[in-house]
Amino acid sequence: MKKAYLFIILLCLMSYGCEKNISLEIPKYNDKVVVYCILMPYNDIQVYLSLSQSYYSYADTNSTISNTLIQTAQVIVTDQTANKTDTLQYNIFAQSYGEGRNGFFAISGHHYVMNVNYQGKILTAETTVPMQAKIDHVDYIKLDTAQNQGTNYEFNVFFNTVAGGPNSYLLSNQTNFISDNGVAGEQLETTINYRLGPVYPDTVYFQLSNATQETANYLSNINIQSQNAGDPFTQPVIVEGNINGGLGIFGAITPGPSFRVIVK
Amino acid sequence: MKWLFASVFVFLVLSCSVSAQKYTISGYVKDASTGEVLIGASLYVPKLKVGAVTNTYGFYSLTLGTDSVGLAIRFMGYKPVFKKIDLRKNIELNISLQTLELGEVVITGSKAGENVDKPQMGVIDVPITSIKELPAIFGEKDLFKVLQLLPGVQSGSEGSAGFYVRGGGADENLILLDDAVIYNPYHMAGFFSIFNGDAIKSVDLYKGGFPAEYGGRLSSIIDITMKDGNDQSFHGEGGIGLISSRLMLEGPIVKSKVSFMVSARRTYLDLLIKPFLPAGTEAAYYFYDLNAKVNYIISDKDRVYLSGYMGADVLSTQLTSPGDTTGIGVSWGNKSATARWNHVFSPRLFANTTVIYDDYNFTLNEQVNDLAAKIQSGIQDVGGKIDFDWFPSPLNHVKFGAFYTYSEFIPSLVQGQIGDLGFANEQTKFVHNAATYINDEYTYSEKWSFNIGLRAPYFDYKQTTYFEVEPRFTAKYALDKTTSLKASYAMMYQNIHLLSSTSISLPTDIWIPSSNIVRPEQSQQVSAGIFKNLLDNAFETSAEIYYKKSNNVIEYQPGTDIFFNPDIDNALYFGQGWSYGLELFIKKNVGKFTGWLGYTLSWANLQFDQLNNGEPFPATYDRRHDFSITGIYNFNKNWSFSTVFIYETGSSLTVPLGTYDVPWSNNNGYIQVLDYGSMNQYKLPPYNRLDIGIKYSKQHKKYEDEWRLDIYNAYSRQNPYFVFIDPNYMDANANITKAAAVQISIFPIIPTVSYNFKF
Repeated sequence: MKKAYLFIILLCLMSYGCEKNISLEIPKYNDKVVVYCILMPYNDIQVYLSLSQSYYSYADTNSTISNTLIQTAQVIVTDQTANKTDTLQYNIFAQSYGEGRNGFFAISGHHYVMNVNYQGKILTAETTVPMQAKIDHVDYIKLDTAQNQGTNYEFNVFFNTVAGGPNSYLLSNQTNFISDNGVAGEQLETTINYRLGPVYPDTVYFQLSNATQETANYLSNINIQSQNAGDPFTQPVIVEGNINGGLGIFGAITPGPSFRVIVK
Repeated sequence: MKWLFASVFVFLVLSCSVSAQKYTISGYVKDASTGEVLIGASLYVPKLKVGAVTNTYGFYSLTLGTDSVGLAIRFMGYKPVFKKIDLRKNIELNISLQTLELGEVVITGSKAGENVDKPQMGVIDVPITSIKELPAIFGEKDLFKVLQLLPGVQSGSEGSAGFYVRGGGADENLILLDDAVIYNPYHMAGFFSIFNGDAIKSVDLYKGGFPAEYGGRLSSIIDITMKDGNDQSFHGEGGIGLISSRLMLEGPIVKSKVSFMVSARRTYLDLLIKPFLPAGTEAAYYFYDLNAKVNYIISDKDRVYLSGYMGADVLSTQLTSPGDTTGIGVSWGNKSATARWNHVFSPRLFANTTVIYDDYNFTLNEQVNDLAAKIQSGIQDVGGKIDFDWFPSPLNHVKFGAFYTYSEFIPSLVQGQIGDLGFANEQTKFVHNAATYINDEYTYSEKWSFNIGLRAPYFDYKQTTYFEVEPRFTAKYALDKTTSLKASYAMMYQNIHLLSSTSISLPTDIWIPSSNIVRPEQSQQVSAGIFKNLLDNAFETSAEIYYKKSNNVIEYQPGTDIFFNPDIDNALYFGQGWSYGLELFIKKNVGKFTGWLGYTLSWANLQFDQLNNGEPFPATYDRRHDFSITGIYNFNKNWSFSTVFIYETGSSLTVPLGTYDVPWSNNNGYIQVLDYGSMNQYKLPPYNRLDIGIKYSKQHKKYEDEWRLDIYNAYSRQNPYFVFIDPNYMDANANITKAAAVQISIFPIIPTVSYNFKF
């Protein structure tokens, strides 16, 4: 019985730890203009503009972008390589700024500058649309065959990086970019496991996209930040963009051609 | 760098030939009642104004050019001894000092006046008696919790024994137990250190101005020496506490010749919990420590010490239900063994040869029905070192030596079995680590003395070799007998690095060696200070300033899985750090009231090209103010009162400030992004705490016992253990969920009663 009392006292002491909602002394958060624009060759230029808001003052953290969209800004994109400029127009259906009077597509190798003016706040950013990267060849190894689920293969994808980088490459069905920092222009290899389904039991398509470093970092960090949400034991992931005077990204991704592999 | 070695050699030769050398007095200084050698006891010849200090093994050597001298031998807490010596030949003189019986407390183990007299700076001789007297959480006396109360040492999170020295990381502290490296010195996820105060003789903390015999870490050296064991009579001490009990026994095997000390501690939470677990559930957690040492005095010239430590944390659970069995077992711990041989080659040359083995291991075993998996990481070192103390003249104390260690790193080992299918993934790294050093403590004049040293570490892993040179220098200028000015410079290299996945100390943290990608971390530190003792060394005061610059410091890329990553070197970022500050220290050594007051004003910053847009940011434990007071008041022979008060600026934290959405290919078409601003831009609320201890002790005929009441966090301050951002925190008042910073506090007021005894 004495032991029971001792244990109860012990438990009380040990479990008297508490969780408490504290108010950190965080100064008033000033809303910042957020730019989101990823240029893709031969695609319309679309610029999303919104305002960030205090993380602690807003109750519904699952709000969508529509709550804070900016519709009255002046957005100018210049293709410095082709010496063209367009003032983008807000499209209420697309909830973004798109093709204006002098509309043009993004082109690989061209350098673009963006200027945003919203209520006197000036934001600038620039990027170069990367050249297309191509898959050179693909080796594969058969791993196992699961009943009713197709055959599992390990594919080794060899691709030629673009000289003059650094750039980052993303293979379809993968989430991690591969950087060619320091080895731009050389051939790199990436491995992916893939199970061929019953519809195409002997064919798989790969596509390699080439992104600017800023774009790859931005998208990767959003992905990690999202995965770590609510986990107190992970380091915070700071999503860094390339917008002077605001948040977000003015980046570019160039998808490569599809590469078909027929498994024999 | 050859010129550097040549310069040091020439300097040593010249400085050693300054004085005439005739006869030498040498020997050991020890405690008369226990036979324990006294480290840092001072021997002084007033007539010649020269002296010596005993080394780590209690040995001294004093060479004098006269035929009759008076010699004063002093050590704080002991009766001074004065001897007249007729010096016509070399004399071996072993001296036994009697402890003082003043009816008041004296902090023994301190080297009286040494903080002013010696050129060494940035060092604190941690008072062992204070470790036992100060109040502690759950009554568990802890060496590291006392270290945290010293200026320049920042604590980790609430309740943690982890510490950060002068802005350095947690892995930048070299912890030596009888010369063996302890890689994970914590129990219970960092709440307690592994060092049992009953088994410890002395602790020296070096924060700067490092002597050349030490190296391998950037920020601090904690050199812990275990008790040798009483070689005069059999004694013991122990205690029964809320969560653990302990016992230490010591005594002679052959009187004045061979002695032993053995000490053990174990927690018993597992035994208390067992009767209350539901059927089908088994769960246990405990930790234990075992220290042992044997000391054999072969002759006046030869002594042998064998010492060892073994300790571990063990956690196991098993859930059994019909057709389903799940079991998890986790254990982590250190083992170390040291064999040392002291040999006196001549009255002026003392040598210590050491063979060292240490092992840190973390193992996780999991069994879920027919799936069995094992995860392991650790380090094993086997090595040896030889250290010489050469006393060519009373003005020089030259130390030189070399060490070599062969290390086996296992950052992660994963093995498993599912039915008949087995899998394994092992990464083992073999490393050669060596160094040579030379150091001269040179007294140029009554005013000036210097500590000049050079250390040359060598590191080899997979044909990647690093050979470095580390100059060390300290200078002292005595303003008067009780006041001195000091300045120091030290360069340090670190070739093994700790990767930690969290801000708290967990056994899943892994050590990795330098490689062709991970270059050695390097630091350079300059410091200066004024040291003043008052009232015949009753009060020690000091003020030190420092600036430390570190290169190749490590952070890992966000989201990196450090434990299962086969290519962890490529997932790291390398940057630089710099820290600077002011440290004030006042310590009262004698009287009914003893204790100290420490204050640190400091800054610690980091910069990585890949983090925070390349901009500098504060380190996690960049605490601007750190203030602590400790006090022990002895009312009479039976009653004493002790207290600790700490106030420190909260640690730095990265928190999201804003939020926005961007288009994303998920169900909603958007994803929420958090705007963190810059890294570590916010400070947690200040940490403060008051602990109180009351002791009643009684001397019986054959033994002495004491009852202690320790009150940890007396005003129940809710200090943060950690803070996290909960995106869906339920605000009960507004009945909505919203993002909030949530603080977890784990230790409110904790009163503990414990019983201790010694005989």
